[in-house]
Amino acid sequence: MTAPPPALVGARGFVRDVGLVARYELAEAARSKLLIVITLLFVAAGGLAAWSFTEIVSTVEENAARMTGAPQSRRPGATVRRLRDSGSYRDMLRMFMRNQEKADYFAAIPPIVAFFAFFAFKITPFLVLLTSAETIATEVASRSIRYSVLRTGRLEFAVGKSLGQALIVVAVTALMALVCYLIAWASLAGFEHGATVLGMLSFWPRLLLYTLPFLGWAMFASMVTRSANLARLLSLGGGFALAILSALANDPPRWLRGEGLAPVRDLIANLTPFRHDEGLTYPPGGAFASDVAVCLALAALYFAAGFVLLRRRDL
Amino acid sequence: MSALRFSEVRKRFGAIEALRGLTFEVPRGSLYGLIGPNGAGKTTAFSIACGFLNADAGEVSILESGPFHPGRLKGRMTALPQDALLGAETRCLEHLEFYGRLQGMTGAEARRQGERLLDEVGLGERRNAKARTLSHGMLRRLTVAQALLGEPELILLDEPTSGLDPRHAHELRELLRRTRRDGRTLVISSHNLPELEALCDHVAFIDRGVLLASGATDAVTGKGQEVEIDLVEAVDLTSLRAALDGDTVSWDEPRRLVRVVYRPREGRAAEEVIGLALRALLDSGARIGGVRKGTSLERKFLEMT
Repeated sequence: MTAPPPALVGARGFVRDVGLVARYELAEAARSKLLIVITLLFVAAGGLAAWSFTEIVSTVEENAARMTGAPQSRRPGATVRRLRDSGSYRDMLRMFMRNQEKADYFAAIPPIVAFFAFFAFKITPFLVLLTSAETIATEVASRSIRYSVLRTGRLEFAVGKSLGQALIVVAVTALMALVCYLIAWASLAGFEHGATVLGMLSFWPRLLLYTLPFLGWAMFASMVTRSANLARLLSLGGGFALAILSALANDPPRWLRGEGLAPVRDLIANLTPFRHDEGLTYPPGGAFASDVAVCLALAALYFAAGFVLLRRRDL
Repeated sequence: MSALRFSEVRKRFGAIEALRGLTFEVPRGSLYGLIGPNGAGKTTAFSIACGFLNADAGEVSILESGPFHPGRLKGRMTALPQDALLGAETRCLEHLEFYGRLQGMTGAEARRQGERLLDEVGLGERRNAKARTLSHGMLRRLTVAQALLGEPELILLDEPTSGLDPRHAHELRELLRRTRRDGRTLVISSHNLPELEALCDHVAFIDRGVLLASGATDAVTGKGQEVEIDLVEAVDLTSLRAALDGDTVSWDEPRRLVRVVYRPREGRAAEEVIGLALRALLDSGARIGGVRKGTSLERKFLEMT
């Protein structure tokens, strides 16, 4: 009998196992129908963003043409550049955002990018909550997790699964941006290619950072449940509950406005990921570093809360 | 030196107490059979040994290094869990490469071993087939292959031949015999008692979460101290009892067999007892249907549970 292969231990072994699990997760996902569904959802979201923007621009241009009697171009978007260069667009943004510097920041980027960023920051968290929640729960339900945890730690397994899901999110959000870009290019006249590409490339990593706590929550749901459906329910239901809590903490109704409740409101606001997109969408506002830190901390917190249960539970 | 030791292990699932102080010890290098009816606690015991389930009380020691720990036992222990599915979209060889690498092999080594094991379990031609395209028996063989990856010192197999046709079950038994010859310890749970009797050198009977009996298979089945003789019809056993003075002779009417429990001693092998007994029975006019040393595991199982 020969000696067993030397087991890699310590940090190197941890990283190796996490990488193996993540790679297996990607390979299994790449062949499954679930990835097709996820891809279609994100492609649809990208398409919806571009289509919505085109519709808005088209409506605005139609109204403007009707009021001024000027001829309307066949493709919408011909006036977008002129509108952006004029002060009225900036004034509109200032009115909407109630902040001159922020309005100037968004006025400097193509409107399709600003619209995509707004849309993506709102919809991506829920898509992640919906699509990433089942990854570990499915393995617990089918007991296939047993083959892996015989050979590696539950932490390596859970981190590897999360990394695999994160890489899927990286790919599908890039695809979402690409679909939005291509549809907008095909639909809009006077499309600004360079500025749009740069703008989307700038928002994409920030969107990924904002998505991390939601991925953490989805993994929490996946680690504490035993079926894909229950995991999705907890992930999405919990996501909506967090959204409601965040809204209550940030815009409290009268019964929650007391000074004595301020620490509770602050705690809730900091424990929920919503509203921490402010610093990420508008870095010059000064909240970029704190929002990045909160997003990373919440991702770790949600993951850790789920792992505490996975570590001890019967599989 | 024990490969696996359970000491007063308890496990409860709600109102059901699956293990009620289970104690047994698997000697290193043995081929050990775990026998018990459905619900006896075999799979629970396997799952606790593998770390899938947490024991409520008691101690488990694997390869004399304490309870299961994936880091400490990486590559040293493998298992075939019962009813655990494999990723449906992954190909056979990819499964084995993944699990091989996860237990510490290089990519090339995992691939080489995966190919060899797929050939050994008769899936060589299906190495690039996705798991979801395999039949139940093929999936079982694939899961057995993952349990034989590497050079594990201890292999736990829960119902390895369940769902296999007779030819593949035979080939798998031969593979397990070869695996055992490498000095490894194998623990097998099965309902197929003739199979366990043929394979295992040690067995343990468990029922309702406790150990009923354990030891070398020959000792448990009484091969060194018991003889069973099938008769076509009942005869007077007086002359047999006289010939085997000091030994216990009993008649089992429903099964129409004579059981002789003799005292093993120097120079008195089972063959001598069989000779004396047959001569006495033939003199009494008995028509003999068959003779065997000891009782079968199946008979022992039925007596004990």
